[in-house]
Amino acid sequence: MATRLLFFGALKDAAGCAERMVDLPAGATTGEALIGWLASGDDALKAALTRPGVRLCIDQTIAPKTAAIGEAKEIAFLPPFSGG
Amino acid sequence: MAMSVDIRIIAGTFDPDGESARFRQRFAAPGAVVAFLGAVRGEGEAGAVSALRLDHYPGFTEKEIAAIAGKAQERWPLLGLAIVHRVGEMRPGEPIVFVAAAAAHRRAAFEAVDFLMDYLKSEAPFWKQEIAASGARWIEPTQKDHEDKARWRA
Repeated sequence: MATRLLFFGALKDAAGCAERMVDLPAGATTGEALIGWLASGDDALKAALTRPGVRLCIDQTIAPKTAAIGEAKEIAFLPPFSGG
Repeated sequence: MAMSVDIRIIAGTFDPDGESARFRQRFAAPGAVVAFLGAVRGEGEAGAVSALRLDHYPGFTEKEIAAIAGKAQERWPLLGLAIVHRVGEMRPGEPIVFVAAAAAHRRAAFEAVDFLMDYLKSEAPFWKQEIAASGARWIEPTQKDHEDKARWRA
């Protein structure tokens, strides 16, 4: 099942794209595991995704990186917000 | 009592005076209406700013702003709220965000707008880039923004 990954703010630059459809491997069951898989071989991406302040959002709900991904359709990586 | 809450994220611009007039017209006889306009400054950290670019997460951003508006409603006796926030590219002098509150008395209206702006600066899912001659720079909340938000923790 394809999962949509979204990268916002400066993470777009680190990931090289704003959005990607991926087939999650069996082991990517948590946010941490997903980051490990996504960033394997890419230390800069790993550093960017594991920076303090970067949050995980599973199907439009903020979740800790240890949370189970389950059957999520959409996973977003959110750097610190700046609005107004 | 049901409260009138209007939250809009818009690409393209808005007319602050029009928004202000439309907001006031929603209420029969409020004692107090406070309206705030945030606009693009000409000078940023990197010198003269030629533009700001604002991204959001469609669906999620509106949901989070609605939650922030809900907190304001719980905290103050309000008749209504409006939050209009632009996304996309915008230039110095242009409006970015309009926040308005109506209440029976002024203290609730002043504080609700101040509270909402502090939250919009650092708790609402937007991502801002400053475009200057030196290039594009992603902005993060400042220590001041965090201190401003901390004022509201009772």
